[in-house]
Amino acid sequence: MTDDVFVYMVDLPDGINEMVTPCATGYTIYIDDKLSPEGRRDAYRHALYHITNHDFEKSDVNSIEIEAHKEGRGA
Amino acid sequence: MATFPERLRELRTQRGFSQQDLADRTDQTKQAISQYERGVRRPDMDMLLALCDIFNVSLDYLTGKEDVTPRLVDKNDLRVLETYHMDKKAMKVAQTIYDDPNLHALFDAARGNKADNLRLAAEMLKRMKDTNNDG
Repeated sequence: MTDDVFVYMVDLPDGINEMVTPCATGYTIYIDDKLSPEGRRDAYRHALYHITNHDFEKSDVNSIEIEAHKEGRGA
Repeated sequence: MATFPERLRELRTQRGFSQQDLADRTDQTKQAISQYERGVRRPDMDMLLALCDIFNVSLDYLTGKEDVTPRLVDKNDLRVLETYHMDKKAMKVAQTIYDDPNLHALFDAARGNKADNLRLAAEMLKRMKDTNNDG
């Protein structure tokens, strides 16, 4: 069974491109609607990376973000 | 045989940390780190153990009682020694949000982002989750 991924465009605080969180049937991604189309795409990819890399099963955010941001997987 | 002040400075510079970086990681002031490195102040045991963890070396090596080279760290270990969020408070807030079972969120945020922006985003997320649950 595959997870659902819901995507919402919202006005996020400065410097935050997206946030992603598990929901009942999968994951919800909130992307900053102030971003350019390219910025939205990059933010979406970053969120998908967290999901496919099973980052929600880990424990240390610092390690998660360093891994996710290397090789251009996000801001 | 190196002394503790010499060893501390050596390890800090090897890792590419400024005195402020190390102060932030150990809840000390930059002045305290400077005093440790100049030998005018001695850290307590908790601080010594924290430094061992940060530098991934033994207490004997840190205090200069042995000269055995600390084990070489690989690239994966070095990444752990880095911090993503430059603001220490932002890093703590990001971890708190991730650990909160009601939020459990990850962000794509700029490295220089401030803790307040992360808190604001967490509040927004909580409201949106509450709205979805109500609906």
